[in-house]
Amino acid sequence: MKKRLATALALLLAGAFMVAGFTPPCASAADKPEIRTSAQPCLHGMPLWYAEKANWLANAPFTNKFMLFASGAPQVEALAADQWDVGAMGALPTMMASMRYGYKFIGISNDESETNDLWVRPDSPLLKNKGVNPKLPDVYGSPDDWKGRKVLATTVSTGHYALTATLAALGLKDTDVSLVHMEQGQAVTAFNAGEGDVIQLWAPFSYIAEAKGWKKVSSGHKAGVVILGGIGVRKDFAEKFPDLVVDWLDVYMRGIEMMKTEPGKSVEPLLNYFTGYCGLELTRDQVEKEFKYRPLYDVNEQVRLLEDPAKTAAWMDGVARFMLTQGRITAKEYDRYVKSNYGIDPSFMKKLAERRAAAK
Amino acid sequence: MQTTTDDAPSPVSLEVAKAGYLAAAAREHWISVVSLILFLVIWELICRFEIIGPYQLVPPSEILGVFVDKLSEPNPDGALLQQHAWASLSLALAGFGAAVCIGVPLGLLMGWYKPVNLLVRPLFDAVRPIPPIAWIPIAILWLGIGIHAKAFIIFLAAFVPCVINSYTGIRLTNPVLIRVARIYGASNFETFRKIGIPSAIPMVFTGIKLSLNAAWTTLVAAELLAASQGLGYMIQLGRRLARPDIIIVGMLAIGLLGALMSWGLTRIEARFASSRRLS
Repeated sequence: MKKRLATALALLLAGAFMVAGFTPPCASAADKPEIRTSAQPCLHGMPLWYAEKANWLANAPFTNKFMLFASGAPQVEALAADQWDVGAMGALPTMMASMRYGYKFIGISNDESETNDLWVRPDSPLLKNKGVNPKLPDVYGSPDDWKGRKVLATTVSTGHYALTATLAALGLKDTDVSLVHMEQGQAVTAFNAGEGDVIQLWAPFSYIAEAKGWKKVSSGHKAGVVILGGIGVRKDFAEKFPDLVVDWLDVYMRGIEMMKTEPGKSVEPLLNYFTGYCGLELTRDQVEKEFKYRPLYDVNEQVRLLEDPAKTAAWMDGVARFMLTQGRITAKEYDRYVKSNYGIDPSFMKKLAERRAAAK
Repeated sequence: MQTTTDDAPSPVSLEVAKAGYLAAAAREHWISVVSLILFLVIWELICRFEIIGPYQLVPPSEILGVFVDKLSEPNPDGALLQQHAWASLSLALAGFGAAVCIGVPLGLLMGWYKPVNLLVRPLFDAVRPIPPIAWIPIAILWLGIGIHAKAFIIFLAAFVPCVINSYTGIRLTNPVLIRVARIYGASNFETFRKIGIPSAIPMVFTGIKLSLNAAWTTLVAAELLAASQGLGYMIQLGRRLARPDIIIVGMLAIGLLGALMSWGLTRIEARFASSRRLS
């Protein structure tokens, strides 16, 4: 009997210790609500990661749980399963998340138009002609040069959007080239092994292409389209905790603004994020290019861009139309997306701007 | 003679036993059907009452609709269901066929001839635990991005069960039969051909069936390599577009094709087994 009692007591104590182990050790930290931030191994994933390292969250009214995703597709799946609250991802996953799950597009993480690009080998005949369409002088190749070329591309992506825009600039369609779907890493391996004539990439894979001596023949920017990275929030979370979203956005934007105003100082943290945390192999030179090729916007610029129908809304409309013409979304889905103002909600950024103005 | 006739069951009792057996079989059959219907009804209700949201799970009635639509509608994944199915089927058959053609003889030879086993086994043991997906970058470098590289990935997955089961099957040959063959003057090769291989057939077929499963399981990974058609590609696009209906239709098509091939294999096995019994 005594033995049983002792065993029960021991089990109870062990349970109590286990529970204590799972309880946050710091009482003040436990009082703060937790925000689950999702990110990718991209420049736009760094702000909250760096905020933790730089102790920016000490006075923030929330604790942060950082979640890394390899790409937009699993990130959207996790959003659907309510696994994260706020985060940043590319234009296409942002659009799909808004369309399917009411995800709110609350800010622009960066402009990815130049880092969604197309590359060829140095001996490619596409390099013989440039600026065939005078409106887009930086696009290489004539329609005849492009026709029938084998393009390795990650289809249904912002990179695919850049490719379609490039072909359209030359009066061509996707069907005029031989499009082979491949994920980015495999496409680089295949292109390196002599497969394909053109490869579609995005940063940081573009930097690998540059290092290999491949030549950039076009990009979203060169083809005249704007491809944004979106900052967003889960619908339920935004409705329940709007102030917390603004608090989070304040910290996130501090990271973005640091990168915008002090790119030199930001190289080291971004390099650490990529190599130390995300496991990517990038050099300092390649990380420096991140700031060169990706325009960033401060809070006031963001408010203007988010509210101007000719800017963010029009740019997202371009992406949505691309998906519509590709047959990836239906006309009904497109109409619903347009009616929802492309999921854009500038109210959080505006509140942040007001809060900062009042603090001054 | 008279006694055995008395002991034999009468035609009437045989009829009764047969009827009982058929009734039991029908009952078991119905239990399976009812469980399937129940599963579909619960699934439908979960979706209808939105216990799980429409962008997370689609009811079976809608899946059926999408399945039928996909036979004539290439969007949103760019090809008809039958085009995807054909692309995947030819890929699976190429990889699986090569695995059977190489894996079964290799396993049999390894099991029968010690020098072959000593020669091949270390290499096979080293390659066996490597997941087929890990071969993708090497496959691209060696074989490019066409059907050969994808079939190679499937081959690697399907090859291992073929070898292991053929090897084990022939190793389990009854030694008495081998000794009898030797006593009657059969050469080692004759014994291998006439005793070893037939006795290994059941295990060989088990290996082939496992290989078939492995081939279909690896299909999605193989189509990650480079594709513009195929059921794996369709599933990937469904994922990218957050379309669970497309994903489920792709999965369903893989299941159906796999089951169809498995059924065909069982029929072939039955024929082999009956011819073995006759011989």
